[in-house]
Amino acid sequence: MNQTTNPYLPSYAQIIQTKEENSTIKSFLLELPETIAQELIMPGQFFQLSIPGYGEAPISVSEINEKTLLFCVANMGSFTQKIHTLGVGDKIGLRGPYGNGFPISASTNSNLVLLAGGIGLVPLRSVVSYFFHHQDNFKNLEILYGAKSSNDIIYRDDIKQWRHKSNTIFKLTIDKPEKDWNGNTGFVTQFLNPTTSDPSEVLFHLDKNFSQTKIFVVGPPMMLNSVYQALAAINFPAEHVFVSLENRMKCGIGKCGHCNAGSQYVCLDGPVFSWKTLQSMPNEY
Amino acid sequence: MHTYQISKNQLNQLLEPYLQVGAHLIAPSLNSLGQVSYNKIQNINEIALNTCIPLKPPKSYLFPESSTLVQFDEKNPHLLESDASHSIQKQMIFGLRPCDLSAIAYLDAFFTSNISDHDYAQRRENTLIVGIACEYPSNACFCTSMGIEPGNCANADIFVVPQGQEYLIEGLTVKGQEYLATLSKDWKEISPELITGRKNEITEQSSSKLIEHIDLSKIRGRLNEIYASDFWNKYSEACIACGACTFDCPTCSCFDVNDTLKSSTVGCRYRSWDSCSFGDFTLHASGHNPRSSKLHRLRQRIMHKYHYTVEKMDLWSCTGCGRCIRVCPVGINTRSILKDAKEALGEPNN
Amino acid sequence: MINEIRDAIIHYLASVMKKEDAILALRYSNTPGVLTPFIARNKEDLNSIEAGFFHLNNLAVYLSEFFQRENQLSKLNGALYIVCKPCDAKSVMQMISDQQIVADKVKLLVYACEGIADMKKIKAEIGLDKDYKTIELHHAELSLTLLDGTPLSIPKAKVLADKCLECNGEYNISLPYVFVGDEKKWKTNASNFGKIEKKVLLQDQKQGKELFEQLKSELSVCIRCNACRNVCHACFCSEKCIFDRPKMTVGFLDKEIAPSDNILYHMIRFYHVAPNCTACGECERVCPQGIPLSHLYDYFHRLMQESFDFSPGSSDSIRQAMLSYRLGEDLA
Repeated sequence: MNQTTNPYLPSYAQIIQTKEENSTIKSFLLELPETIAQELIMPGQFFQLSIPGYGEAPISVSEINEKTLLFCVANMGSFTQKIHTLGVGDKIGLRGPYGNGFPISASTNSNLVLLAGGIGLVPLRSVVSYFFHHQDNFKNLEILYGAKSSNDIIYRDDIKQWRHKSNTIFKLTIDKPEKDWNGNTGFVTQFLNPTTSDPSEVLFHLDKNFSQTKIFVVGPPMMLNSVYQALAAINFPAEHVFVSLENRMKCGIGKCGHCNAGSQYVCLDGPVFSWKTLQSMPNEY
Repeated sequence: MHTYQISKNQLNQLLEPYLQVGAHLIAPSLNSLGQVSYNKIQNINEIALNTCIPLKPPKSYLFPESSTLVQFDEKNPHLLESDASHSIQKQMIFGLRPCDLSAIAYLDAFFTSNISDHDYAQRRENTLIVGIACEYPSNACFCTSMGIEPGNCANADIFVVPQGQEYLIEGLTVKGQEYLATLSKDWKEISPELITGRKNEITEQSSSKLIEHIDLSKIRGRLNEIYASDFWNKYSEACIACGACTFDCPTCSCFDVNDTLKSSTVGCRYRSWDSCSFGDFTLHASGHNPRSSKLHRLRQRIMHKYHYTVEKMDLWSCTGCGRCIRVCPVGINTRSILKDAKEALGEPNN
Repeated sequence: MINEIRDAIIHYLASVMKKEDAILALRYSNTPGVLTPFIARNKEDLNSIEAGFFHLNNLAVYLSEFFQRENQLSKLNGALYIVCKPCDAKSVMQMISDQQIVADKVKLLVYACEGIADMKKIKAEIGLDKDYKTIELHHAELSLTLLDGTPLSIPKAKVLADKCLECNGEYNISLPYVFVGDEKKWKTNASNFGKIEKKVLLQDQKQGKELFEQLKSELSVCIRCNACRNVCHACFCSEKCIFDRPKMTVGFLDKEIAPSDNILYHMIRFYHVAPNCTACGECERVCPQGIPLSHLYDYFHRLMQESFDFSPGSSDSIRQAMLSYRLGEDLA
């Protein structure tokens, strides 16, 4: 009799390194378990991280390396609070990779514009990492990052490196002005507005009919509406915009019913959806 | 394929092997409150076939109210395979009407698609499904509106058709035929036309007793057009979000997953039935709730059953069994909702 | 169908209803013999109102929704009328005492109830293999048409709800209300209703292990659907209910269907609602598993009565029995 494998059974990964990115986000570098094939993991996918007796949570992968995976966990509730207590040498449960990931292979020879609202930079970082490993396959990279405040900014060390890459534009803003802050203020959508941004700096303005630019967006639901408005204002094609959604998840494999919006399961058919597809889905995420 | 005409005693022969140790027989019987439900049978005499549809759906025998997914203990601090999956015994579920048979067909398709659910798959593998033609509809039933015939259903291993004091019986799958072959030594074989004729007769008789038939063909695939319509409020204002409709529905399969510690070193991750009607079903850790209102949730339930599964799997996930109508404490009638949906889509209700 | 009390209710409401008012009442659903709650917002809607023998629902539970969760009443400029049986009115009174609703926005309409149906008893009379497509009450006889067209008659007395047979006609409403029907006559007749002794499921003498074992057995079929909690006007911890949080996230209970968890669920509920429960019986009516919840909770009502001389729903100004103390009160 052919026994179906138990899809709820996790593998275990050892924590090699940790880092406090800001007051709520902690990064964990994990050793990739043998049971999980690195080639199968794509940016935008997620894993169910777990601790026996405490539960599971879906966390996007932030970086995919040959032998390690990087996860950045925000302390949002009782379970993620428990994850934050783990340190180097501890083991954590992993199930995955799940979800569809960003359409990276379909974006060859394109510019990639990554629009990150706050914690949205966490999954987009995996795209940045992929881009630098496969630079010849793409044109240029543009990272637009909006953090709530200067204290919330994550990946500061990586940002320093990104700013120096010749094929990369990096722009940062914080919501409100602060003492000792000389950078941009206001929402990240300002960079999409042709009247407020410097056209020579904003990549996709150089791509006349936007046929060679893909935008990946990750951010809170409120931000998404302003993004859609801004993109509609410049007639950016909906099929080139990809959004990674979040929804309450439990099983991660399209069975428990918690994460569906319309007929689409965020854990199975998503979490990445084109803006075009989203327009035909009910706004229930 | 062999078709037989058998007596009541011979029908008992069909069931007896599953009363032995190491197997379970599940069939409709009376519970302590005098209501019919699918229960584990100890004695053939308990079985109640000549009644309206059992109150509870048969899904709990394939998808229990709660079950362990993985477990851990002090010797093994990491989560392990649950022992429960190794102790699943073979079972026969007998007396399923076409509505419940179709519900199981839907659950089969759902649970084994994409990443297959091992718990459901293992229980299903160990289950022999024996259906029966339905001669006793209730006032809530609307199976014909969902394209189901009371007298006939192909989604069973074995199908039984009552005829007076006897039963006509056919094996529909290899599993069913093989099982029948072990029993049918002195059974009378008949030609398949006879069983077809009787099935049609039962379909006609039972269909004529249904309170109404609603033609849904013109609205299949169109419900998205009335997502933002006003009429939902009429029903959601009465709804108390109790979830009884989802618990009694034979196709509802949503579940919650939680961990529990029995001691500091022993525990498990288990799943338990959940309901999209519950207020916290879509609640994010951040506090954001995409379906915060009862209108959202009632609409979700209807859209899921009558539109989203059609979009995804080309299947209605409702079989018209009527349990939701019967159990709703505030009288929300799904047939009413469907008729209003038709009107909202400009389709007349005859 | 002739229903004088319903006609009187509609007549009264038509005469007092203002443009901004709303009425919480019941109308026909598509299911024979089953009414469904609705909000009437204009005079045409009034004609859909039904009341009487099939008025099974206690509409009080919807009031807390108006005031809390969906906040509709804050948008309502007029008054909210609620059509109540006298036992439902007790619940409304209790909710005011519990500070769950604001008295001045609510207008109580109580009517001369003649008892309500117990659908389980009706089904038992018909038989397990039959069902009905029409059902109507004509004075003391229930007339049904079965699905195959056969007519059937059942005496009303045979299918009256137990709580009506146990009704003593007592209620004490201290806010302004309208009584539709002859109130004095009703009070006299209702006390004649009490034809049967209230069925006692948990004997007073039962204590400790024996009590526990009986509860465990009765509650073993609970599937933790929460219908009893959701229909209960006394359960008003909306959005914060401890049962919505499994043990690992601050709650007390797991969501596993296990005898220990089932008992804990109901014990917590029994104790929390005991001071506010008016024995309306809705929990028992809505339970999809048929657990006789209201009869189990009676044990605790009797304890309350004995210990505190307190019966919920008896006055709008009374203190919460479990939360207050009067000087001189004997705690022994």
